[in-house]
Parts: sequence; C-alpha cells; structure tokens
Amino acid sequence: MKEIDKKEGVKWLQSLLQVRQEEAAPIIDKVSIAEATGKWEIKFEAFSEALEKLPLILEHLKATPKAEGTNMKELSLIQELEEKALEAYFESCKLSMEYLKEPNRFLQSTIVLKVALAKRFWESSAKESTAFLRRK
Amino acid sequence: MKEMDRIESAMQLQSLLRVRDEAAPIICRVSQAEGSGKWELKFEAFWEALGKLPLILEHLKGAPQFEGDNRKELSKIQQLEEKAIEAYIESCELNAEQLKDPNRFRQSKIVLKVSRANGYWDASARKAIALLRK
Repeated sequence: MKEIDKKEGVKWLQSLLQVRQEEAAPIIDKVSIAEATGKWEIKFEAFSEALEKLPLILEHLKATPKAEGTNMKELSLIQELEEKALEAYFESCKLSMEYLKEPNRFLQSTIVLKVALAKRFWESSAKESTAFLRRK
Repeated sequence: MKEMDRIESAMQLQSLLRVRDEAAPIICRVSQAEGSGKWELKFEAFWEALGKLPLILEHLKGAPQFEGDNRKELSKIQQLEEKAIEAYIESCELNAEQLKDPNRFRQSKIVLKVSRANGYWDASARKAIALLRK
C-alpha cells in the first residue's frame, strides 16, 4: 500500500472511532451508571437521552465519507461492525425503557442478549481496527 | 475461533434475534393488559397476539439455513426461540378461553405455559451469550 493510502486509511479510522469515543461513549456511560444506581428516575432519564441521541450518532456513523485512494473493503467491515454495535445497543435501550414500564422475563433476557451482541461487535471492530493498523 | 467466524456468527445471531424485536411489542402489550386487569384490554392484546405470533413463528421457521462453524449452535438457538413462541401462543389461546369461561385448572395451565416459554427464552439467551463469548 502506498504511503498516501496508509495515511488516508488511518485518518479515516480515527474519525470513525471518534464517533464512538466522543459521541456514543458518554451516553453509554450514563446508562451504565444509571443502571447501577437502580433508581427508576435516573434510569428513565438515561434511556430517554440514549433513545434521543443514539439514532443521530448512528446516522453520523453511516454518513462517514469514504477515504479517497484507499481500499475501502477492509475499512467498510469496521464501519459495519460499529453500526451493528450501536444498533444493538440502541435496541437494548428501547427494550429497557419498556422494561421500566412493565417488567417481564422475556424483555430481561432480550436486553441482556442485545447488550452482549453490541459488545461482541465493538470487540470485533477493535480487533479488526488493530489488525488494520498493524498491517500498515 | 477466527475473528471472521465470530463476526459471521454474531451477524447471523443478530438476524435471528430480529424475531424477538417483532415479538417484543406484542408480548409487552399482553403483559401490560394483564397488569391492568381490564377485560377489554386483555381481549384486544390476546387477539393481537393470536393473530401475529403465528406469522412470526412461520417467518422464524422459514429462515434460511445457517452457515459456518457455529451453525449447530445457531440452529439450537433457533429451535429454542421457536419452542418459546409456540408455548407463548398456547398460553394466549388458553388466556382467550379463560376470558370467556374462567376456571382454576386452565389458569394453572396458563402459568405453566408462560413459565415454559420464559424458560426457553432464557435458555436461548444463555446459549447465544455463550456463543458470543467464544
């Protein structure tokens, strides 16, 4: 790979991962802290914020422009994993909101599943990103 | 396990779990209606569940075969999801009858069916999480 392609690829990856770090992470942290408190009002507030903001972040993620002069095949997989992780996490928040109103076991197991799925996608995205950076 | 296999399994699992996204609003309405104790709300919720859940079950059964190293685990998860919906549909059928003609025997059968459905959903979730952590 040419030097210019390397730089473009790394720059692109950095801007994609910034979305996770700077936009999504604070919201996810708030949800996590709220869940730990066990307080209904705090959880309601955190899920409401997540349901309002995560779709916008997802749109932002999907609209990340392609890196010019770079083979986007490898990078597209990382973008797809980030999108899938955020989608699964958003769904978990939607179900958590339902659970706050009317708890049931079906919702509980589905929420746990969705969070596990989101974590899996984030972990795979991190591994693929690291592999991409090491290859360069 | 290779990372690409993990990713493939997670993606297949995510599409399998769409069935829960479809079922969730219906199950939540049934749960809310039962909580309300109102006959009309319960009738509406069971009616909706009996109309929609069999279609969701058919959709699940008609899903394409799984591919890759984890296809056996994925098939097992699918089976558990199917069994859960089947048991839940049966509970709704009994609930609809119970509304017309309540009796204690049927009530205990309903509790059993719902608990069976929840058992299958829990087992499916445990298997899916184990697969995601592999």
